[in-house]
Amino acid sequence: MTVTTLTKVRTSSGGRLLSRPGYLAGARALLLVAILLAWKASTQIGWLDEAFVSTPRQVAVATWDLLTGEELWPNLRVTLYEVVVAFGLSAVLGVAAAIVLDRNRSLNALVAPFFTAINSMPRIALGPLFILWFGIGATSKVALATSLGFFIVLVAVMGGLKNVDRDMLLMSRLYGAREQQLFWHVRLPWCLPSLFAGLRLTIVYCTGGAVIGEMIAAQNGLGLLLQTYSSQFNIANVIAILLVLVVMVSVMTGVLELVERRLLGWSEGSTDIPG
Amino acid sequence: MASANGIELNQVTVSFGRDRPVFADLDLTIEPGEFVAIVGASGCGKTTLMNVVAGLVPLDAGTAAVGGSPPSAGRPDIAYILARDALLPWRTVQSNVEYALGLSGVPRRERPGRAQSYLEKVGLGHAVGLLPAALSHGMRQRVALARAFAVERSIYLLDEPFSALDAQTKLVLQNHLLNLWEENRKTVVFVTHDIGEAVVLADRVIVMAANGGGIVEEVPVRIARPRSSEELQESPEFHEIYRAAWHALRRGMGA
Repeated sequence: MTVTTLTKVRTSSGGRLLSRPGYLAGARALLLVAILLAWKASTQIGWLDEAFVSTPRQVAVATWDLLTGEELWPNLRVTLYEVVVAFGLSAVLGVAAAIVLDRNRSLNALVAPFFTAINSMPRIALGPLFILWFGIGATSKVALATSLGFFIVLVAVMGGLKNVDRDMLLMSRLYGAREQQLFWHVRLPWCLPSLFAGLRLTIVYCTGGAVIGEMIAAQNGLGLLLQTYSSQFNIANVIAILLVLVVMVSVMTGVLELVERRLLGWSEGSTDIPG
Repeated sequence: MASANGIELNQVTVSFGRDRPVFADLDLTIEPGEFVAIVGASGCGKTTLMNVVAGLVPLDAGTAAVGGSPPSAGRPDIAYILARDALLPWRTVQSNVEYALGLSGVPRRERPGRAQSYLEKVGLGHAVGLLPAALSHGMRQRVALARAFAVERSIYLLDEPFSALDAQTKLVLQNHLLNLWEENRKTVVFVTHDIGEAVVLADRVIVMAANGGGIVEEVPVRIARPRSSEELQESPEFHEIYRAAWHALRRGMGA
């Protein structure tokens, strides 16, 4: 989705060459090569210290060693588990809370300031507390990640529910719809695009939450590896782990986009509803 | 006469809590099977009058009877067509009509056939599988018409359904509406600011005054049915009634 949007923007701003798929992929590869060359050159000239930024070759070797070694996979599994569980909890709890608060305006008025207060706490600072409360294992990381993801889903879905098209509700009522039917046939489908926009962010933030939790204190996980390699000044391995995280988030986002395309095929171009 | 599928308003006042009522002491009787158009400048209260009949607006005084009982929203004998088509963008054309049929309690197995047949009546038999986003404005409003007539109510309320269409499309839609209505001539109240449209469609044009004046005049339209909106444009009879309605409207605006 993001990719197509970017392409459209480029097309409209005049970059016609880049709108052809082959050229775009080629241009991206070129940009990547340029970045890698600049990186390598700066360390060779001495602009950047190799000890701090490593080199493309060292990172490639480190990545290969990690992928073929024993260390990465069990830790990746733990982090993936934490992120997936936190994502699921955020989605389910966030949607449920949004529906309840949307239906009960007075309850919403009551709890809104408390939710805002909790959501405005820097979650990184809460990390040590969560570890104290939920232990050093996966639970504390799931809690930290969920405390971020929950609010993203909640805000996204509540925003969607608040903007439900009034004429669609009125029309449905006039044809005899009851509250429950309005929910399933109008409100829920209406807020699916906002839900999915929220879920994309949730993947990113849950991953961040889990990794940060692992960096604070953990027995395993990619965050623990990051922490270990950082303290050993093994920059190549740190960057390699970051690349693994990028791929992990990309794959999860890709799966989400597949689901989104199936469910939201209608939403393409439907925003300009005439009348 | 508040029996069967007629509408009877007696001394109705609506003010929405403000000092100046939208209209006061308004009387209106609509016979079962009659096609009535209400015209007036914007702000004259014609949509409010319609909403009274639909049960969407509370009365400050007077009584209203629709089909023999007080108006209420979502009644199973009334269909309301809004100015905006309010099609659900995630449902296909066919599924949008089936949705209304489902809400109206039509058994599941009857829905596809009925939706299909009404969509064919408005010339959309080829478009049943399309999403609303793929339709022109006129086509969307045709789906809304098919949806409303497919539920087979006894009273139809239409609130400026064609106001956003270009002149040509409007005539086409008027013909679709006339054809759907001719099938079993249900009671229709049609609100519009377009006098020509009112004369083409209605048995009687009710003219409302600006600034809370209520109904100033009723213009009977004695043009033979079935009518064709295109052919009427060239008929002297049509233009004569148009002029009469136009003068009534000017008087209502205080000109």
